[in-house]
Amino acid sequence: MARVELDRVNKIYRGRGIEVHAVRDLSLAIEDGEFVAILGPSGCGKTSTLRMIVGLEDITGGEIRFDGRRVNELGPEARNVAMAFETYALYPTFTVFENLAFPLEVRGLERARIEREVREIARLLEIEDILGQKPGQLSGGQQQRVSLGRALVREPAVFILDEVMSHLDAHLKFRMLFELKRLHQRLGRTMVYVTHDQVEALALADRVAVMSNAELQQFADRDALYNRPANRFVADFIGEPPTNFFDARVVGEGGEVRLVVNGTGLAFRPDGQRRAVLARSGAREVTVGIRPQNLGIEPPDGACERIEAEVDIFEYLGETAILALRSGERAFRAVASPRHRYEPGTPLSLFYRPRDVMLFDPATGDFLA
Amino acid sequence: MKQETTTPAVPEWFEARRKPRARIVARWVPWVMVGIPVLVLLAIVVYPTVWMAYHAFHDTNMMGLFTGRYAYVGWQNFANVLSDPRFHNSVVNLVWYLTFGATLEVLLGTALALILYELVPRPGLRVVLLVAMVLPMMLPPSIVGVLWKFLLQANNGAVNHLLINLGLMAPTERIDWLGVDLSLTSLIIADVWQWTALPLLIVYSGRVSLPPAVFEAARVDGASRFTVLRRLTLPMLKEIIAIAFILRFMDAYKFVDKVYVMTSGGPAQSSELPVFIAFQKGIREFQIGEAAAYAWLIFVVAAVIITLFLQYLKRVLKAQAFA
Repeated sequence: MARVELDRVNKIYRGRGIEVHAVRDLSLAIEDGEFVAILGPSGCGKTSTLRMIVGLEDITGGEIRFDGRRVNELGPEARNVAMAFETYALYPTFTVFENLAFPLEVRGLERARIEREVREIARLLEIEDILGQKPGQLSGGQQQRVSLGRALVREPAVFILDEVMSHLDAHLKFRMLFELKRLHQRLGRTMVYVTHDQVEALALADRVAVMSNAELQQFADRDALYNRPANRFVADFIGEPPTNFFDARVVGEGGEVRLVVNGTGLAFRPDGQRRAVLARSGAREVTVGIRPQNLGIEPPDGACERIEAEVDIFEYLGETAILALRSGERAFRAVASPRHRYEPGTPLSLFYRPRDVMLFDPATGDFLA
Repeated sequence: MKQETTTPAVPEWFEARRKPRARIVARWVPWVMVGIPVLVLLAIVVYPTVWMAYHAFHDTNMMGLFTGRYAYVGWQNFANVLSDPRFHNSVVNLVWYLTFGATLEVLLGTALALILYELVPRPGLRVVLLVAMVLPMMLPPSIVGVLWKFLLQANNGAVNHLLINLGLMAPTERIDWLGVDLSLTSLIIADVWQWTALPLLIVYSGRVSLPPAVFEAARVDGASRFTVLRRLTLPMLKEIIAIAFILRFMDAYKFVDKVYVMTSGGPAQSSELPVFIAFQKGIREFQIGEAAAYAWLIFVVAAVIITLFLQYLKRVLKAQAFA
């Protein structure tokens, strides 16, 4: 059990004349018992971050502390971390039992105690029936459980999972997500989960650290990520389908402020709080962001506004449907109920609530309101 | 007008029914293709083997071979060989040579490969060392034999000089490397010097191809380097090491080149191996009958050992789901 702090951590890989700044000034504080996900597209530095926490990678700059104690110079064996690998990394010459027993065995535990602990963890993960088999004979889901079990079998300070679901099929992934969440609730250990899949991250984690281009973009819970994204990148990356962005001019004053999207017939009306922010900043240009889920065909309850557009493509997804729309030259998307079908070219009214209109700085991409 | 045709699934000459000439080609090409290698094999493998089997039961010598006069002697040649102390001596030598030569090469090669992989961090240095260690393997065995014969000379050989200059030996002392006591050891030294690189290369490439995540997992699990080596690295390389051993064993079994160059089996037959005696008897003394008996005995033992190896290999491949 531990509180994990990353203090302005940097990672620079140096090769023949090439320098790659993989992690830049990353600061994070992971509370004891918290489940944190590190989320980002490939190459954003999330795996480097995780490997630095584990101790498999040197820290170029900054400090990592476990419960206030600096661990930069400690190897992984001295940090008491447990890790489940993307490729599972099971010991191929060992049986499942021996795989689970290995971390205890190298710590010099007595035979009877090892036996008991392994049986216990095997029961928890429902892999008692395969204890005698070798990893090569197991399915992907079973291997994954064994690798989780090997990490869980001892009491690590931090429990680290590296893309552990990425090789599972959708059905099994869903089940394992659920089980992992339950495991965390039951064991209450500090867990760090690295993934490029926002669904996994949002489903599992108490807080999500979104990374891009070697930098931390936002570290917050899912509500904040969804409704108050720190910048355009987070708004774009979180949510499926991605947020619609429009470059708009601020037209009008006071309660009549409209955000007119260049080159289209679209104009958005923000709510009072956002009007105030705009008035204070005096900005004439903003980037408007609105989530496809917040653009509806039917008017929502409460105050709402409308925009007009034309249907481009109607994409049926079963539970929902995605409408690809067009206004002038601008294409954007909305989520619709699959009950109605729309032919391409159909004119359509779409409704939104003024409080769902997000504003970003057009130059920096930072969230304004 | 010519009709458009698509490319046929089989070559045109194979469409036997259309043209009579093509039919002849189609019929005979497979026979020729298979026939040539079969004839070559018959000429260089089957014919000599049968010829040898025939002469192993006759008292053929050079005169007999030319005049065509030799008599059937039954198992006499085999009896002669098996009761010959020279043969017994050579078998003992061979066992020594296989146990110390081939085994030492594999052990040393494995150790060097793992040291190179684990303890040399810079890839550039690794490549330089690897090339340096592989160089002896690229020399012809006869050259290596001559080289070591010079190095090991008792009176002005470099090895004795080195030992004297290092103070390990009195200046008047001489180690007779190629004498009765040490001739076999010297052969083994020369062979180890040349061939250790082969198991080294095999084990090194095997180690490189092991998944790195497994070793990272072991570090995270808290295993010491020695535990990792003993419990993970070596068991995972077991089959690779076995294959390196099989290769060295097969080569060592028919080892004759350095014996010929360095000691000619001497002095006093102290470094003779069965293959060398067969060579001596057959090519030098033209005792064709007895040499054939030697060759057959060697062949039968080799066949048994190779069969065992192949069975092991098959089991390994099956375990790794290659077959």
